[in-house]
Amino acid sequence: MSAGEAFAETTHIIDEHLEGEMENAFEVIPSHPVDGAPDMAHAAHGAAEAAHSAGLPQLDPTWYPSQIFWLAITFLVLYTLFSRSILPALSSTIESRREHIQNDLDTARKMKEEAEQVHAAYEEALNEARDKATEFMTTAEAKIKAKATKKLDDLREKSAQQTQEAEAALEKAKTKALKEMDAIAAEVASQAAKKIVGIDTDIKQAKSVIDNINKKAA
Amino acid sequence: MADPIHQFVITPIIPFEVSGFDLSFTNSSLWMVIGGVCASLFLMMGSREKALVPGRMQAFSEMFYEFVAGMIRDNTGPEGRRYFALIFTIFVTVLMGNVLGLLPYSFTYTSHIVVTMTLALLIFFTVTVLGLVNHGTKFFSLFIPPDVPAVLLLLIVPIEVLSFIIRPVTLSVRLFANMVAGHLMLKVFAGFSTMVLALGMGGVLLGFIPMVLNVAIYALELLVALLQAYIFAILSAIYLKDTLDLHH
Repeated sequence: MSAGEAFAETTHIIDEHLEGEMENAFEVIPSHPVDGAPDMAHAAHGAAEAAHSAGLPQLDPTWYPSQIFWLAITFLVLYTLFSRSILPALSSTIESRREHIQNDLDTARKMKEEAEQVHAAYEEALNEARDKATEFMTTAEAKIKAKATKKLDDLREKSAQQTQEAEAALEKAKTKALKEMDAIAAEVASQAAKKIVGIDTDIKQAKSVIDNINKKAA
Repeated sequence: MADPIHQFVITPIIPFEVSGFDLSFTNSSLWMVIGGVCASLFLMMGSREKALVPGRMQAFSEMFYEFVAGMIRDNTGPEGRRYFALIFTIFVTVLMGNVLGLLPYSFTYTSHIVVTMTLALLIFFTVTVLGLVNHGTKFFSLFIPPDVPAVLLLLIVPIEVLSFIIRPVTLSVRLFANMVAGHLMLKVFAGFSTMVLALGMGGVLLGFIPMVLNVAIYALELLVALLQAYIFAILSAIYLKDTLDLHH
């Protein structure tokens, strides 16, 4: 069966039912003449139902006004409710949350910047302290080194002086001893000459003789 | 087998008439009200508590809000904010109709062409009226794409006009057809199960096959319900963009 045929048949069935219901409606009205209005409604409803059993009830215009009317009412009520109360409430909640989050983010950013500044200052202070410490250490080392060198030099000088003094004293003592030796030698020689030869010799002459010998030896 | 069309039948609950128009409170109206009440209660609970760290309800409401806001921002730019409530309401209305319609014994008001057409025409007239108010006659430059040779304009302008006029039709029929087709399919497969049951013991076992298929289709329909609501809302946003900025 093609679509066209199906449509033709459907309309035919609808027509038949509508006719049937029309007759039905006319039958009903006289039987209840007092309350006519509800019966009219009933009859119309009956007709509608008859149409439904054959075609789509959506194409029956009986209930169009009612549907449009109630749709308009519910739609207007919903529109008013949404636009006046619910949507602004939701919007303000979402907006305030967004603001709150934005504020928090801003605060966090500010705090981060502050922390970075503090960190930078700390780094600077640390570097300064390090530099100072290094400088201090260098100067201290230099001072100590200088002191040590000086002390060492002093010590060396002193010891050199002492050595020199000691050497000088030794030399003096040696010279003195040698001189005394000369004197002793001259005395021994003169006494020996006196005892052996029996002559009194001049000590001074002996001394000069020894001096001469010493000179010859030198 | 139960009539798969029966689920779309409208039955009045509180009948009343105003100057010849039948404005009865029907099962369709009931589910519109249920959808509206559910959505507003849920979002009210979610928006009442304005915690910095949201609870479940609040997180869900905010996710929903951000989702729609993101969709509008991506499709209409920052100026689209002024249509936020409109698109949000459309999205919620369609979403509730689609999703609540999947509950057993419920009624899918988005499966009625008159409902989807009303919503689509709302968008269409909003775009047309606001477009004319914001741009004046310059709004008609919408039909003249930039950088097109004059000869081609003869062809392109009628096409653009037609595509503009047909927008409410495509918008409404897309949603309507998706909902009807999905619900028909669910009912037909469920009908298979009950039909096979009549075969006795073997039928009971055999009846499981369409039932399992129906579970899979149900999951698909849930996806379709969400997706179609999204498509309806996103297309509304795209159409509304024309009232803000004509350069495309």
